[in-house]
Amino acid sequence: MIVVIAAVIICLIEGILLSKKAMKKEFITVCILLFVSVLIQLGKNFGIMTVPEIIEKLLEPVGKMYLKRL
Amino acid sequence: MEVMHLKEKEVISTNQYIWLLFCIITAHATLHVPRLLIFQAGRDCWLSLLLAWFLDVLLAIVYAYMGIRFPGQNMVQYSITILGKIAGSIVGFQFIALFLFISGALERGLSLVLKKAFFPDVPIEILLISAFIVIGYGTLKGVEIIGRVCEILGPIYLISSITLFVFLLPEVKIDYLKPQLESGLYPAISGTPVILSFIGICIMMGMFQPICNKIENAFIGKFTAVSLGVFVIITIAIGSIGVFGLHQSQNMITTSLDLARYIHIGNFFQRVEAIWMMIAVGATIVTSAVLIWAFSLGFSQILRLKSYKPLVIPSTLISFAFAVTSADNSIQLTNFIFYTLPILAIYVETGLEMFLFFAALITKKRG
Repeated sequence: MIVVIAAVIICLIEGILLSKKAMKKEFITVCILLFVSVLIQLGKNFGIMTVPEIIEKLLEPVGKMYLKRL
Repeated sequence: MEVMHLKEKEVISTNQYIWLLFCIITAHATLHVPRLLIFQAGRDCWLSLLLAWFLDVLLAIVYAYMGIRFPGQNMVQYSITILGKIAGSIVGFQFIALFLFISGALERGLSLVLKKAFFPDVPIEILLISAFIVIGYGTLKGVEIIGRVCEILGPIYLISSITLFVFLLPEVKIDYLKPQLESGLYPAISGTPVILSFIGICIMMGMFQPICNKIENAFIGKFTAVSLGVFVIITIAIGSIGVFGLHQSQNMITTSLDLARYIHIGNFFQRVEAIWMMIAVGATIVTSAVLIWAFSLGFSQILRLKSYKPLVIPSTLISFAFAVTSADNSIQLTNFIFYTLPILAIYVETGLEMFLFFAALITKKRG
């Protein structure tokens, strides 16, 4: 939840600052990055696999092939 | 390919460059890494470290060469120069995504250790929020400021680490370090990728090189930083086995913290884990700030933005989201750091850079 609230606040603050400087492309990028952070949080809340979990599922078996079992 | 230059022009000195890289290694050395290395390589961990140091120095030659071949360009920029806009952006993005990912994992690791050892009643989110506020502030100030901070903190960390080791020396039992090469060379060789993936984060030199005031010092700077960093990890690993024995060291979560707790001289000099905490918190915050700075800078260069500063806070929030949502406990995090991160890190740190190196040679492209 905290990520979602933070994303909204950052979007508002950065939006005002960037619109004053006419930096539209930067503002769109900021919104995309904030959206990604919200997605990561929501993915965890709704039990959807997050990016680290996907990477872990893919690479962990490779690591276990040559490393000792913890 | 035209290279996009941002309006911010930051410059760091060779000294700052060295201490920045040293702080990156120190951050990992204070957390889970020595224990994982001891777990994998046993008493031969020092040999793993020397092999990893050698390989990292070889890798540094490639990074330094690429920095000189493409002057004024970091690895994201020369990826685009070599491979073109689309393929280069994809390769460049993988470098910076790893940085962002590691910053989240690092802070998660630190907060888990701090909660367990020092603040058992504080919610982990509070520790993470406090850390990320400082990280975001530091990153907004830019790499020059972070570099100056490292120039002050780095030597303090080095001296503190050496002092801690000196205090431990009377407790080290040399018999615990024997026999060496008990199971042949395999434990040492298989431990090398584990440690290489962590000290390999010093590929950050590829981001620092274009802003270093003396580009020709890039290799010697990295060599110095990695040598100092490996020395610190060797002292922790050998100290841990020498004091606690192999089996106990393999089962500790943070060997360096337990070593610091073990130090006492009489009844008046003890509880020096506060020094450990100072090193761990400072080094991980500085490292995360640098990693997020690299992500923001690289991402703004891929998208050809005028400034990277607007991306700093959103990038910090993504890293925070990674930290909050990843591993629920130390076991999950250790599993991830031990089995997954080395493969991912070696693919990016070594695989992608060697690919760019050969692509540049074959296509005969220069900056």
